[in-house]
Amino acid sequence: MKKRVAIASYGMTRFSKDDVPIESVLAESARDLLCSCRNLDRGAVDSVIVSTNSNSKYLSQILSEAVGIRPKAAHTVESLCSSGTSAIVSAYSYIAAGLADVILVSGAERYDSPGQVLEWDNSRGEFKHPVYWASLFTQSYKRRHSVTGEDLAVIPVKNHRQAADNPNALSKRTYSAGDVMGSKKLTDDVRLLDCSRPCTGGASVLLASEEMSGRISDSPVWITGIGQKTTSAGFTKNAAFDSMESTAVAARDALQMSCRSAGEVDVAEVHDAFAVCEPMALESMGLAQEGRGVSLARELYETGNFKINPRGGLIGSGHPLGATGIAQAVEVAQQLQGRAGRRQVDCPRVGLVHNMAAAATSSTVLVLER
Amino acid sequence: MTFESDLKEGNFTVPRCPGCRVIVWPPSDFCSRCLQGTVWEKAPSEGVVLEYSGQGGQHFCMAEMGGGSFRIVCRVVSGTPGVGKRVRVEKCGIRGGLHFFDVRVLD
Repeated sequence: MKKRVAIASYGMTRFSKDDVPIESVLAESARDLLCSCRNLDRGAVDSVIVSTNSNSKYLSQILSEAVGIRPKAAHTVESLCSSGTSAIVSAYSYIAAGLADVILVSGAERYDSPGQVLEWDNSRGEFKHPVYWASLFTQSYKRRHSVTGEDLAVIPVKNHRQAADNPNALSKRTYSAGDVMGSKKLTDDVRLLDCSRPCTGGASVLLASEEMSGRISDSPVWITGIGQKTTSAGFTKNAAFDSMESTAVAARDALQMSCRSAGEVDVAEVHDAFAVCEPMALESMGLAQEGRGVSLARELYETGNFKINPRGGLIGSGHPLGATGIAQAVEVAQQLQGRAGRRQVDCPRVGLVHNMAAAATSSTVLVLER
Repeated sequence: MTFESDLKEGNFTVPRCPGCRVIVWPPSDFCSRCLQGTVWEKAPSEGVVLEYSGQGGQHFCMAEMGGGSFRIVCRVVSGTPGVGKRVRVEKCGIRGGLHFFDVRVLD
């Protein structure tokens, strides 16, 4: 029987535009984690897994040395924007299989990450920057569900508002729908404030088996569901441009594994790389009815309910690719522990993390519970 | 003959699997289904707009080519795109290191 796996501790850096070495960003969030985890004997850390799109080499070994760990296994995981949750799933698998009991998972990225554009995808022609797939998604979603750009503006308005209560967020101010509509028009369908921004940042989680998590933490958060799906690598093979097939499959599998339903999710971090991604993901996962993702976001914003993207999502927090999925998991863990400060959602019991890559051609969904 | 070298010359070629008879896309030297080697042929020049947007007064679109064989994101150099409208590749190549496909709206 596979072992239960918990998030036993976590650490974060501030998200910024700072020009610092990737090794320093990695070490900073791991140091934050270790400093808040005084019960941990570092000799008990079996593995160190790094999540990044950086081209720097041997980063997991470098991180291990920097924080005084001599692990059995140390390696890097890369899957563009969903590297973070992919690394968490790798660590989970080691522990569940009995190959390790304690694993440090650290994600980091610099503002100038090489992971922002998928050069391989020739089917995108000269339109390789993510803003182009986001424009086609946005146009498709708007037409299908009869929503306007102004309707969608509630997503960045809400997420920047929520990021204002996140001390680690890149965003330092709030915006109105008028600000969003008046921001620089990048394409006919996407404005500057509709976008998450690449940045420098790091996030770490310590995963542990049931036996070890009891020794390390007084409030472990259990990973009870995992779903992953890759439909293709090329953007043009998406079955639809107003929904996310890989996300739907990953969410279905994660919820099934945890014996939960979408209706039981109390708090979720959703991969809002662009404004339209939030309603598309909510609908694809069953957290909103088809075509109702925007109205759900508006209702949450108007009632001050932080249920979706409490830390500000990618739009408000910033998007350091390799750290994003881990930062999402840290936020949901904090929420479930009741330690999210001014962002705290009312007594959540079931949390969800949605992390995707390359125009939703692949997705990972985690279900977390106290 | 390769996709890259042909495109550099302004010729749009695609690989077809002789066994499965399907165009393999994105271009590859072997079929993703049966793993047999592919043979290169002239790409179909006409397609249908699946989605579109614009930038700086010019449109770009995703077109499904050759009756559903494969899809590309193209720059619209003539006409106004709409979902379901037919387009034809007028010019292709490599510009500033990026592949490009310029299409004209036929409908």
